[in-house]
Amino acid sequence: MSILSTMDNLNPHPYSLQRRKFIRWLAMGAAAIGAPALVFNYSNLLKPDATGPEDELIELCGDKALFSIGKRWTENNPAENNLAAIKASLLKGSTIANYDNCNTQQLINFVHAKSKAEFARMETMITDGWVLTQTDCRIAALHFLNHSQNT
Amino acid sequence: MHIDARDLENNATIETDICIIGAGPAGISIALDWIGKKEKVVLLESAGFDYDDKIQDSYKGENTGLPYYPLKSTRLHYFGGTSGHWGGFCAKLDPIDIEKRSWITDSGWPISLDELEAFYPKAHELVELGPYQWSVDYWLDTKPKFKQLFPHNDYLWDKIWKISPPTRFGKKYREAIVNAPNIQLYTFANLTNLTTNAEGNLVTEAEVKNLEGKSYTVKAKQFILAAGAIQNARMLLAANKQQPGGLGNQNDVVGRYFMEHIEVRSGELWLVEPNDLALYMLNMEARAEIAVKPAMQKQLGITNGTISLSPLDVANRLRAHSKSWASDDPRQNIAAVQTENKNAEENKITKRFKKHYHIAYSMFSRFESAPNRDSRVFLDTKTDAMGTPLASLHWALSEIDKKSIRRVHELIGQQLGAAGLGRVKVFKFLEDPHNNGWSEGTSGGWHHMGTTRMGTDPKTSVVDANCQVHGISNLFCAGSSCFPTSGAANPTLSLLALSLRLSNYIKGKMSV
Repeated sequence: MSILSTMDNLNPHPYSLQRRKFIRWLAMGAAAIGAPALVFNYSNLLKPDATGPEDELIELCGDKALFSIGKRWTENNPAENNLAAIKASLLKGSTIANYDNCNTQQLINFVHAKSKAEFARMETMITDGWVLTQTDCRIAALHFLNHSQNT
Repeated sequence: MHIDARDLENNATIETDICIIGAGPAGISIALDWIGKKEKVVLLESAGFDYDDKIQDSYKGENTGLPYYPLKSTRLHYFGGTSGHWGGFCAKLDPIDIEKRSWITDSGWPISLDELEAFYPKAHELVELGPYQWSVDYWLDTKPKFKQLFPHNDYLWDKIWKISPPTRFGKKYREAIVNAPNIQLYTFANLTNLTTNAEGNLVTEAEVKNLEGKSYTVKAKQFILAAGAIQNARMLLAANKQQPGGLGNQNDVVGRYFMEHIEVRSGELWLVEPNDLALYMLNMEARAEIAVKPAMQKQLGITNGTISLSPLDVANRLRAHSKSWASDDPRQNIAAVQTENKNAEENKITKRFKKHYHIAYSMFSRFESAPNRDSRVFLDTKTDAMGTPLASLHWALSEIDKKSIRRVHELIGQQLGAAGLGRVKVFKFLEDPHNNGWSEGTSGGWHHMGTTRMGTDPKTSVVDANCQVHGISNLFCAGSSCFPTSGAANPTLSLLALSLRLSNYIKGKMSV
C-alpha cells in the first residue's frame, strides 16, 4: 500500500464535504424562498393597481370594519342607501361627470382631497371607533353597497 | 453621618436646625442642597437602606374610589424612596400647566413657571438627564432618524421627554449624605406626631418611633415634610392631638385634590405608508409625545396631556398596568412588569416581515387629572404597627378628564387625515361622548400629587407659594403634594425643582 493511497483513504473530516454541501443547498433554498417574500414585502410590484377610492380605507381600517361603517351610514342616511346616491354625493363639487366611466386615478385623487379638506375643517365623526369624515363614511357605504350587490 | 435610630436610647432628644421627614427624592435633594452649610440638618427615614416588608406595611391602605394599585406597593419606604423603582421618564411642566385656566376649576399655581424654571437645571442634573435640551429642534438636529409626524402643525406639537438612567437616589446619593458633616441621617426613624406651641402656629417637635418600641423627639427650627403626597397628608391629618382635624386642616383641604396621571391605552394610529416614527419610540435618551398647543387646549376646553406611540404588535402583548401591578409586594410587581416588557419586545428580524409593524401604532394617553375636591387621601380607623392611622385613598376623576382624552384623539385623527397620512381609531370606552365611564385598563402612573396643594387662599390650599403650611411658620411640605395641578409630565423632575426652590427659600429665611 503506497503512502499516497493510504493518504487517500485517510479522510480526517469524513463529513465536512457533505456538511458544506448541505449548508450550500440550505442557503440557496432559503434565498429561493426568501427573495420573493422580500420582494412581496418591500415592493409595489405585486400590489394590484388601485381600483377605487375605497382601497386605502380597506387597507387602513380593514374590510370588515369598513363594511360595518358603510352599513351604519346607509342605515342612518336612508337617502343614501343606494349606489347612485352615494356616487352622486361623492362627486359633489367635482368636474367628473360619471363615477363609473372616468379615470380611476382622477376619481381617487378627487375623493381623497375631499376627505382631506373635511379633516382639515375638523368635520369628523367617530364611527366604529374610527375618526372619519363624511366622505370616508360614504366611501365605506359604497364598499358596503357594492359588496351587498355582489353577494 | 448615619445613625441607626434603633441604637438610640429610648426618649432621647435630638436638636437640629432643619428636620427633613422622608428620604426620598425630595428629601434627599434638599439635604444635598445643605451640605457644607453651617446649619445642622436631620434627615429622618422610617426604614433602612433596603426594602423591609414590615416597614412597608405602614403604607397599606384601602382604595375606595376608582380602581387603583394596592397602596402598599405604589411607593417605596426606604432610603431613596420611590426612586428605588421609578422608570426614569422626565418632562418639564408646560407654561399652561401653571396658569389659571378658566375652563378648569381650581387651576392655577401661585407662582410663575419662571420661578420654577430657575431650579430645573439642578433638578435635571440630580436625575442625570444629560444635556439640558428640551426643544424638539435640538433632537431633530442631533438624531437624523428623528422625523416629526406633524411638522409646523397649528394645533399639535412634540413634547420632549427625557429618560433618566433611572437615578436611584438611595444608591447614588447615599455616600454624599452619610459623609456630610452637617447632615445626620437617621434610619428606622418613623414620624408619628408633630407638636405645636399653644397658639398652633409653630411646630416645636416631632415625635419619632420605631418598630422596636423606642420613642424619641426631634426639636428643630424648621420642619419639612418630604414623604410623598399620600404620606405628607397622612402625617398632617394624624397630627391631631392638639387640632382635631390635623395640622393645617382648618378648612378641610389636607388630603383633598389628590391627583394622578390618567394612563391608559386609548387608540390606534394607522399610517398609509410605513414609517418607523423613531422620534416617538422608546429609547435611552429622549423621545417625543404628541401634545396639544395651549391655544387649542383653550379652544377645546380640555386638560393637558400627551399621547405616546408604540408598535401595535408590541402594545397588544402587554397587559394594562393595573393588571400587572396587582400585588401588595412592590418587588413582585416590578418583576412582573419587567418580565412582561421583555416578553413583549419584538424580535429584530421578525418585525421586518410583519405587515403592519411600521404602519400600526398603539396610542397611549398620559393626561393630567383636573383638580377634584372629592379625590382624597383620608385616615383609616386601622393603624400601623406604630399606632399611626393608615391612609386610605378615594381616587376620583372629573367629566373634563374623559372629554379631554377623547377630544385629543379626535384632533390627532383630524390632523393625520388632513395630512393624508392615515387614520386614528379610538378605543371603545372613548367612543360615546355621553359615557363618563373608564375602561378596565385605566390606571395611574404611580404619581401622587396635590394633597397639600399650594395656593394663596387657605380655603382651597394647604401651603402658600413658599410651600409653608398656612398659619404654621416653620412647617413646610416638599414634593408633588404641593402641586395645585399636575400637568401631563411625570412629576419627579418638577417636584425636585420645587423642593430645591423650597430649600432656597428656607436658606433666605434663615439668612444662610
